[in-house]
Amino acid sequence: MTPEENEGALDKEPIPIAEGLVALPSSPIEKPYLIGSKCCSCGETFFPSRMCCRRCSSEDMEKIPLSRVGKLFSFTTVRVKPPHFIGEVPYLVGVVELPEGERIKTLLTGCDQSELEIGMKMELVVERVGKLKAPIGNIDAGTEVSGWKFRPLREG
Amino acid sequence: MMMRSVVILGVGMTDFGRFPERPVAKVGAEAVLAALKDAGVRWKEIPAVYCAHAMGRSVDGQLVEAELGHTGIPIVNVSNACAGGGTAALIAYQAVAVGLYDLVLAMGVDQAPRGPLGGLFPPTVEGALGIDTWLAKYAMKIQRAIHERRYTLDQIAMASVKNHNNACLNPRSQYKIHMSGVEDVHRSRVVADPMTLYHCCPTGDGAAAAIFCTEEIARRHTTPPFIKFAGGALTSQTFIRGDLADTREVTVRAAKKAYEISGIGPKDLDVIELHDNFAVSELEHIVDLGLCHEEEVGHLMEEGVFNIAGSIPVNVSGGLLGKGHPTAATGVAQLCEIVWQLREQAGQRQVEHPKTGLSHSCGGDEGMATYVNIVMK
Repeated sequence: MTPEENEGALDKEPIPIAEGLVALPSSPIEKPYLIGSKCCSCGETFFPSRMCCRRCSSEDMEKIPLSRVGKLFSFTTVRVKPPHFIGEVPYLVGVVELPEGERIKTLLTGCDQSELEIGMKMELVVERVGKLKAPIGNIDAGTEVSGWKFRPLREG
Repeated sequence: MMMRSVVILGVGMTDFGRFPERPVAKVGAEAVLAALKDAGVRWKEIPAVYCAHAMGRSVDGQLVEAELGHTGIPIVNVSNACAGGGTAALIAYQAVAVGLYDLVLAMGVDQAPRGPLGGLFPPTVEGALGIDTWLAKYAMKIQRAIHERRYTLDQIAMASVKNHNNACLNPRSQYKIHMSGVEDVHRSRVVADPMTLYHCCPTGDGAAAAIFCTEEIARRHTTPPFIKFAGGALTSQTFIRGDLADTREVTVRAAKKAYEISGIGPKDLDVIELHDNFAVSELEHIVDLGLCHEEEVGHLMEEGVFNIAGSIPVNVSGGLLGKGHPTAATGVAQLCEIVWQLREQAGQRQVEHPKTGLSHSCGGDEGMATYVNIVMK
């Protein structure tokens, strides 16, 4: 790769790893959110969105924006590279419980493991994760992709 | 429905370990031949086979049949991941119990690649993001257990020490690593904080087989008391918020149903082989099977209650942690151990005069398949 081409690659914005998972801001004052679904029958909320309710099997589901802030339910640093992981080890991963009740499996960012505590407030960001090693859906191998992550909420 | 009594006439298994140079058919056939010899039955007499496998081709049972000699019998290949072997055993038992066959063979065979499982499956969004790994889920389970003050890291590590030491007494074990204490577990490589390598069961290769029949057939081969398959149950997950590989609720329901069907309760059990895929799972499942309460399991582990000589012996074979876990072979290998224990043929790891035994495993991820199978003398 020539320096010019390399520069071009760096400038390129990563694209979301799959459609329908995150809504990206359309202006600088907006913030990204996760797209979930809510069961119109029992009210349970899910991420990613689903065709049928896992709780009551209703097919009456509506897409909703999920809360951007939740509480850290658990976390760890993974030190062995999972087979299809496109990032580098070690990396921080966690589960964030949203006010809606759903628990989101997520990468963690913007912090060190020593700063993390179960129960602390975390907020959603969308960041680059890496380059796809194999095609997923209709996104080709080699594409720079972004995904949802959570970071400690800095109040104020 | 009138259910017939079902005898476990013979069992057999291969060593657990790594032998990638051996075709899966030969590994499976070795276990079948051992079970046939143990039962005093010839391959040509077997009218049907239920073969569990999680890896390999979708006709592994037929590959084993080809190795043993074509008899043209019906062979059902069974999946259900780590619960495959227990599922095959359960449906083979049910086939005899309801009168479909008078004699059947259940088996499990697998050869797994090194490293964390999952590389064989197509990449997914969650896989690419690295948020859907067993290591992360079980490490986070430990974080929750410590946060909620359910168990200490030492108590969790003790399950690994116990099972590795039990495995040293089992000639079939993949690992024979003697551990002097929890420090041996804590000092091993950290894989996902605070979990170390010795919290995790290995993958590997192996096979196990068991032959089930009616009492009438059993009388032609042996004399009472027979070892019987007393009943079992299979469950999948119901709705639980979030997902940290929740193997608990599925286990509670499978156990309850298996106790109901068999008429044997948790207090009646003399030897237990349960799903210790990770050390933390052993403590959780001891509770879920109703063997003791959540608030006492850690202390009972410290006191040695779950040791071979303890009052509730758990994973005396070495469990998945020590004996090894060739995925679908596990459920049938657990039955082998219980049969040997009930016959008092378990050598140095023999429990004192057991009359009943239970085997349990969970397979898959979200929508976990789980079985509990109960055996009695």
